Amino acid sequence: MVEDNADNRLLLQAILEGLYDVREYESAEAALDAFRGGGPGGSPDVVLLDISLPGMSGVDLLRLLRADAVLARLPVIALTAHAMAGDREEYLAAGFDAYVTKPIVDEEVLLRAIQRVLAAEGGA
Amino acid sequence: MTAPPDPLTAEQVAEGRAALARLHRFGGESLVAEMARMFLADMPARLALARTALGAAEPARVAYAAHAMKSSAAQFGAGRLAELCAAAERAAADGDLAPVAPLLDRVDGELATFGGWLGAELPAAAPRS
Repeated sequence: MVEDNADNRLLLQAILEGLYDVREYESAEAALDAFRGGGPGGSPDVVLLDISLPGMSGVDLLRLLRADAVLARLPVIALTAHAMAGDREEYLAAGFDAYVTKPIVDEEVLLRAIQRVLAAEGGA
Repeated sequence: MTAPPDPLTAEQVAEGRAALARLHRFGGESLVAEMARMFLADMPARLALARTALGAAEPARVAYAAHAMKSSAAQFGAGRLAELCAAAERAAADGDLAPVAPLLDRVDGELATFGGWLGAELPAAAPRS
């Protein structure tokens, strides 16, 4: 997960605990460095990416990932409290594989999105 | 002088309790207590950052701080607080800082009201003095 707010990271960890091995990054820059460097265990199978981040935004990180020969097909799920009309379509058009709004009200929405993108990449 | 915020309505209390029940479902009492503790500690700090950014006429930083506050408030079912933060975020994102100061004053008051309720609901999460 790439999420700058500690409370959101705690919440996501609680939801995903026992289901996935979760690595946390507080900024797009830290995540990009880790993904390009291979990180422990290699690049992730899926990225949960907050849109509003300090420094580089989530959308800008996505663009860099999609332009990277190795990371281009990495499944990325947008996680955002931006919920204006048209936001979902905008983020999917930008290249996100799925879009989940915050606040997290139903954890199944997040879990199904993760399962869906992993299945699409054959990594379920 | 800003009028004191209205107390939480019965509906707002119900929304807050529903949010706490969701957090309990996600991660039990420990998650609820830790997230509430973080909320009560971090929201005033974020509000201070928003005010500092406003004083420095930096709308992007104001919008960022307001967005973070909105997100946390919404996760706790604090709808009125989240709406005020959203309004501050929208204004700052549009580059219009004129309405932000009174909005942040209202956020401050609403945060005191909601924080007081949350602290009463979860005494273990209240900041230690």
